[in-house]
Amino acid sequence: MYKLILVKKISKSFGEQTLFSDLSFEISEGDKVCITADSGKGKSTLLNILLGLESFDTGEISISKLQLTANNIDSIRQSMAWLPQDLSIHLKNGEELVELLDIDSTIFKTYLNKLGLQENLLQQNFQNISGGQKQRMLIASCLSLGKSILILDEPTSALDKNSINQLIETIQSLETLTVISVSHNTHWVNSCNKIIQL
Amino acid sequence: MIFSVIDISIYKLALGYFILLIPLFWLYYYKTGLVKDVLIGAFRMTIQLSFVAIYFTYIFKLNNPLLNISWVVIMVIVSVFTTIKRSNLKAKLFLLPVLFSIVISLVLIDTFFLGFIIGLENVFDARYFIPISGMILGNSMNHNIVGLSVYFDELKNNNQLYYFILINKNDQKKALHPYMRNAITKAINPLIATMTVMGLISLPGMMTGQILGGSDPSTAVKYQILILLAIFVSSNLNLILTLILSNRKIFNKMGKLKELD
Repeated sequence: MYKLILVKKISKSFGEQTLFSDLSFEISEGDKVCITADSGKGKSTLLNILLGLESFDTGEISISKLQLTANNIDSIRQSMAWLPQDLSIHLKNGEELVELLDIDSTIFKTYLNKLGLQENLLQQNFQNISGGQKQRMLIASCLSLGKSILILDEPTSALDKNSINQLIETIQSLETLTVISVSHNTHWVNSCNKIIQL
Repeated sequence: MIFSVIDISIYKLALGYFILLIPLFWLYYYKTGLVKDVLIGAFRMTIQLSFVAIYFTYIFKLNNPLLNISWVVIMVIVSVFTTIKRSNLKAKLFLLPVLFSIVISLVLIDTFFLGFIIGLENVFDARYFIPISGMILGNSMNHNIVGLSVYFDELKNNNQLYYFILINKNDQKKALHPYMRNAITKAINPLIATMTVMGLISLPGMMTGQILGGSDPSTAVKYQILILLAIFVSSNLNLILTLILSNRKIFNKMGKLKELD
């Protein structure tokens, strides 16, 4: 399988606190990866590093054969979609999400249905829908972008068991999609084919 | 008909300050901590305007373009630093964006309204250039402070949407779009409200001043319309330029927001 992401000996510290040092791993196209560690050990920081939102102290990262640098970040982000851990996104409703991300509403609605949501949810005020609905709507929007790498930070934090199963099923059906996630949910962790322990 | 303005004696003016006791009482009663600020504000206003009266007497008499421009430059500098301070921004990051925006919008609006619409032979004529520039600067400064405060507060405290759009859409302009829209809307709403009720529940200072000074009401109204349009356009232009220019300074190369405090 094509090595999509190569992480070589990266280190990250915040002041005196070392989150990880000499961390190396490879992710192939289509891998479903889960990063696990105790709280505060740098799981979200590692995701932010891959997204280019956080710098790293030493080492190198290449994504789709491009070095993760400021010059390449635009090209790298062309292939990335991301669900943040913090769901307090200020949006009017789902329709605004469609407009801002410029996504195909038919594809979006298909993913909403796969994740157990009704289309009429799009018109509802974003602040009035539940955390689980919001999380699934955001995941559906990420999937609708048709990117090759999906980064998910705690994608099951607001979901019930049934919704988690629907999400796993949807993700697993996308064979070429590479997923890098952080999660504490055993069911989700078990569904991944690769675990990176920090 | 000959109009004459009734002068106000120093004693009568001093008496006018007594009316301040009403808000001061309530501010004290509710322990707002603003009594000192009001007294300082009133004191500064008095001193500053007294100096203005002295300066203007000479400036209007001399009517020297260089002197008039220097006066407006001082107003611009004060306006820049007040905007930065009142919006709680770092001078190091925002000095140039705020300065350029104010200068560009002022030059454009002064040229258009003084040179083209009013058709002054000398656009730097003290009687027009200084008060009209002052009104534009003062209003557009207040507008800018509201817009910048809203914009940067939102970016600092509610930036999840920015990062979500930045990564997923890979388009920083689009990611900033909701924040720009919100700042522009909140800043411009009071101006729209002012224009809407103009003449009905609000008689603006410039027009009232002109009428008190003996101008024909229809001339005063025409000037007032022009100045309101100038304020509206310059305020909006100033804010949008400041936001666009600031956006080039406040993010790192990866699009991450820098420390703004």
